[in-house]
Amino acid sequence: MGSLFEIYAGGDDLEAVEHAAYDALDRVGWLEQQLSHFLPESDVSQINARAYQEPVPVAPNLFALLVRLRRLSLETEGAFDPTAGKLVRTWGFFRRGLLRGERVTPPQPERIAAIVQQIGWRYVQLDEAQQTIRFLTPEIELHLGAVGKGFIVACAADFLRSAGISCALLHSGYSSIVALGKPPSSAGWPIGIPDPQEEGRQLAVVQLRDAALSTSGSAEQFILAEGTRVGHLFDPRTGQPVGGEYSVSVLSPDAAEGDALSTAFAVQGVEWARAYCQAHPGVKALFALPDPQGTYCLTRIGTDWD
Amino acid sequence: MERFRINALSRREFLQESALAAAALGFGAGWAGADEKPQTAAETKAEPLRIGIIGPGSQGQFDLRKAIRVPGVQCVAVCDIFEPNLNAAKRIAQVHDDSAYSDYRRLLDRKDVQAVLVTVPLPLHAHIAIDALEAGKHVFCEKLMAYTVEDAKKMARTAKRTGKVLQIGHQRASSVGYNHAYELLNSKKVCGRITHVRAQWNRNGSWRRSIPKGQILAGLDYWRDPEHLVNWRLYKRTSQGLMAELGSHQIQVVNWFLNAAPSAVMGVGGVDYWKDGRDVWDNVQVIYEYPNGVKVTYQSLTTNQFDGFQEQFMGDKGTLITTVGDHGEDKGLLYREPKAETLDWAQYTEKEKDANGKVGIILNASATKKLKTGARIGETTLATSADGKDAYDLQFYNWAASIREGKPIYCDAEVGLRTAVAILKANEAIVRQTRVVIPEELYTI
Repeated sequence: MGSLFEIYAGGDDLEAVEHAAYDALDRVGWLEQQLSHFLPESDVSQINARAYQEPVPVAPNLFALLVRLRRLSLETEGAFDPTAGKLVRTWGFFRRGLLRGERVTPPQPERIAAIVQQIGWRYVQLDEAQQTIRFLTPEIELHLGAVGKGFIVACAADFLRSAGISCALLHSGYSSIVALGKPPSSAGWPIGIPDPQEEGRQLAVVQLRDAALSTSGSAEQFILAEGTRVGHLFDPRTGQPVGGEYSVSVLSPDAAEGDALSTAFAVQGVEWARAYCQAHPGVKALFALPDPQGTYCLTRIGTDWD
Repeated sequence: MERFRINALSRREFLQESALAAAALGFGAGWAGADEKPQTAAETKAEPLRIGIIGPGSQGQFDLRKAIRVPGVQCVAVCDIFEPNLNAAKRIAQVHDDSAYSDYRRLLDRKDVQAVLVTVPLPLHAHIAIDALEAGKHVFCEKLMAYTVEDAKKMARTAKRTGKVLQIGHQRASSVGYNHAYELLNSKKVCGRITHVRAQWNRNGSWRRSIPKGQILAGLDYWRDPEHLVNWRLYKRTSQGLMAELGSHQIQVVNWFLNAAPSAVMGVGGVDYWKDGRDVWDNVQVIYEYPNGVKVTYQSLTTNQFDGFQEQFMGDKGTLITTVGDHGEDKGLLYREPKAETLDWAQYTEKEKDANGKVGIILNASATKKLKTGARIGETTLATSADGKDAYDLQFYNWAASIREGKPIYCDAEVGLRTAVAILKANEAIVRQTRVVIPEELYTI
């Protein structure tokens, strides 16, 4: 995380709106500290440090999130898998201060294969009665990077809603966006979908209203392993980076789930995503893919776009 | 760039297509949100009051936004040693690079600056506030007044000698609701004789701030560490902990409502949960003795936020709870003891309205409920003020009025000192693990 977090909000009583927004930001701070992969005292770090040795108690909000993420992992056939942190670490993405495009030595294929064999929710015990988590293999490492932003934006949006704010737009790092209501004079909050290649060019504008928009892409974060460009998205089932440069935006009711799905869609590809959206009418997706000339255009998946 | 941004959009802004286009997120485009435009003298016709700010961290930026909403108040100079804070203040105040300083003495050299907001970390309050007063500036200094009792006294004496306004940032002193509650307790005696007070500020969070990226432009070695600079509240070298940062707001109210200050204190605290390198206690429990046998218990937690923050004044006729609601509004609840006579609320409410049209008590009949501990007879909402200004706004209105018109200072050096003594002695009691007697002379300037 550590990205820009912004709230736009309106209402008749601007003072009240502002107060609620500051309170919401307080909560964002707490949640970031709970989920951070970099702070040793965060809940996630504590779980990763101890859960292979013993069952570790989990805060109720985090436990509920993990239960949802487990379901999403199953639904996406493992394409989204927050237990695969070791994979991302082994590829060298967790080091603080990692530079965009930095050259790294790729990990040994045997090491990757060994990790892939020992990750996944089948090796994680979530004890509902005790609210504890336990890892059954030493290779499990929880990594909420794919969904953390969405989860926090969703929590902040819930807080604003409970504070009586009915018109707001929140985003974390521009990649996880939640709209509460809409501005009075328009159909929704206008959100530009950027061209992954050409800065400043928008492929489309989505009118967002009471929904979340989550974007995953391989274009933003990458490293160079023996000269080959490696994006920060991995297929947890093979341990290999997801190829190609493209981005996927998912429109869904919940930002955490939208984040998970955009990751899964990026891994699974257009056709799989089409089947998923058919089975889940609340979810729609936009794939920005290059055509044979290398120009990016949008493929819309799901019904009732526009 | 600041990591956290709030953009409050007025209805008018919503209706303007251009504003909406700006609000639209174009990802990479990264629209830089403009802060609310400060008023200019011409716009408000008020007599201009030109201020500067020294140390616009998170609270300082909040204060600055509030202060420049007071008609006529313009911020003409800003100072911080941390680049992200300096940039934020520049944007809020809309001042240019030539009025942004990393050395506060350059800001104090400015002849056009009449008054300053001192919102630096606690141990620097006295030094900078005194320099500002000596430079002929009026001062608003955030609470706690000072890191030591001696520092607080020096500030008070300097203010007295220079004749400049020194106001301390316990904003509840300016709250219409809290002032009303004071009247209810002291003139109307709605709780009878007060014998006990319970107060708390409980939160569930580490209190740790994330560190914005940016350069540290000046300062001594200790402050060159961004962790120390941003999370100064977590280290004893720079912080008096929860008692100072949270408890002082409430002990100021207790002193005020009881018309007294504590004569002794004991307490416990510890770093028991957030063992992340901090040495400031993450929980404190304190018992104060006030004159006439009144006891005050105070608690501040970082691991459980039950009941949030509030002050409960408990007398032989009832309990008055003062707190701040979710939207910053002052909130009051009164629970009468079963044996207390019935209050004639309707008549009472009417009278209050006659006396002061700005304050109203709204009785909520449906809230009448029998509770085991006492009959809950009415829920009152203490109106923030007729025109919706909260205590933070009013604090700066009052400050400006004291400077321009010589009106009494709402939270002056004496109030600041009395609060600081009570807080610092509580911390001393926790450190020494003993009951600490507070001699009366500590409270005198």
